[in-house]
Amino acid sequence: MSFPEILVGIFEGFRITAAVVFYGLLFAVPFALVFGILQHFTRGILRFLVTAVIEFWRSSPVIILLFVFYYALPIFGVVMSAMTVSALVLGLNIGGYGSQAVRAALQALDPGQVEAGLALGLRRSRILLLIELPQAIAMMMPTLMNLVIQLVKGTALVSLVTLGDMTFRAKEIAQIEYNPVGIYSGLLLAYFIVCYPVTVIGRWLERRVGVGEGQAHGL
Amino acid sequence: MTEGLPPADQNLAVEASGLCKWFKKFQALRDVDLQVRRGERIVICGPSGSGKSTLIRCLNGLETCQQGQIRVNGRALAPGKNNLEIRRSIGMVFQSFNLFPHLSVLQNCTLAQVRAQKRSKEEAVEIARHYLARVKIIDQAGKFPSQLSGGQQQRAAIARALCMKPGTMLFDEPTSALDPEMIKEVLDVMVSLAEDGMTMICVTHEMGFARKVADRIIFMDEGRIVEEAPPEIFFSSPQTRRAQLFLDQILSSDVH
Ligand SMILES: Nc1ncnc2c1ncn2[C@@H]1O[C@H](COP(=O)(O)OP(=O)(O)OP(=O)(O)O)[C@@H](O)[C@H]1O
Ligand SMILES: [Mg+2]
Repeated sequence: MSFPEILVGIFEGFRITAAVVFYGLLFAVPFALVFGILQHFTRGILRFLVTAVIEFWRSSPVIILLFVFYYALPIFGVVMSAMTVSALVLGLNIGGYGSQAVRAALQALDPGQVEAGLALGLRRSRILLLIELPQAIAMMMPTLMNLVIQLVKGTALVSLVTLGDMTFRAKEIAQIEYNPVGIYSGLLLAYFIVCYPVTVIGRWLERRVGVGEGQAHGL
Repeated sequence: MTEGLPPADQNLAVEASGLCKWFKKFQALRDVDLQVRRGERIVICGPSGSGKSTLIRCLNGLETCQQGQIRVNGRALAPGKNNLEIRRSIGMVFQSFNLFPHLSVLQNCTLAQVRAQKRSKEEAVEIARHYLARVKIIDQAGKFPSQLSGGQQQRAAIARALCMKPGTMLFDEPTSALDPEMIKEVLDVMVSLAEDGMTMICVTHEMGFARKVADRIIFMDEGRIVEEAPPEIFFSSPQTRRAQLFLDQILSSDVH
């Protein structure tokens, strides 16, 4: 197989890789927002519980989580498809990191912002939604883009639970013919081709949502 | 709830009695009583750390005091609660402006009108433009706070507060973060508010402003109201040694 043929072969797995990223984000984004906000607002035992959930997803090795959820849970009658397990595990792992970005951004905001909202008679929930989150999200855009890329890279593991992603295809090709250098540099190139546009879109988004401080809004 | 306060007096905008406030072990307010009539202009001054900010932040519930009662327009402030109605009836201007950096000046002024007072978008914009014109920055309405000078930002913050049509305005050192050449433009706005009969409680060290508009000066030290007098009397014959020292310092630094 020529190098272009290898690349085309690998990209047959693109649809699966993209699907894992997409469904993974459906887990990651809500988890990051909800748990980041909860960790910011709770105190005491509640905060301890929230932190425990975040740390479980953030600190466990993804590969072990994949195996446990895919192979061990069915023993207890919990059966999920390989796609669901992959999206859940990768998504919540990245969501765990994301929650820390959310919390850090909320904590970094000038407390005067909340006070100004309170003094105007806005409800606390409105202040969070209309004043804190828009600024926090703009602040953490670079971190979020890093996490998306980390998620894309993380999908290379899902071939271990039988999903036919790009890495899976590469391994398939490797079984047909012995050309590790060609195949794995092709795979490397394939991930680069997928990730690079993400960074470009990310930088564009960063500019779009940049808040005040003179960096945005056509200054 | 309101024990310690006499029955609500309709002529009073703000009444506080027996306020005590602790930050951990440190007592920031010691048995503070304050009555402000509608339309009255109060200037609060005193050395740094004397509790001026803490006092006015208690009046709209940004700080909760552990003892004492506060009533605003006859309505008791519930400690630790939202007090949305009361907060909508008291405007507050901060030393550091606290404009919302992700919103334009106009949006800063309409946000709470629409989201807290349920005014229509059109009505909110109209009111915002009225007050932005009043503080003379209507031409900056579409800009973001970071594109404005300090004086313009503070005037935008005043307009934002006025848009809620509050009966009372609280100012916490509104000019002390400003360069000297911008102080006057903010003070001019405050003077014109005073002339229109707004109830004002201002923490400020601008003694010229105090002389000109204050009905009463309140001097605080170590969490207490130490002295309370009309400006003519306060400036010419302060009763306490602390106030005397404070005035000497302030007035000598004014000369420079
Ligand atoms: N959040 C807080 N936590 C702990 N101590 C505080 C807090 N806020 C204020 N204090 C303390 O309470 C005292 C009164 O503070 P306050 O800010 O009311 O003083 P101030 O008269 O406004 O002073 P300044 O002129 O410097 O603004 C100070 O000693 C201050 O250190
Ligand atoms: Mg202060």
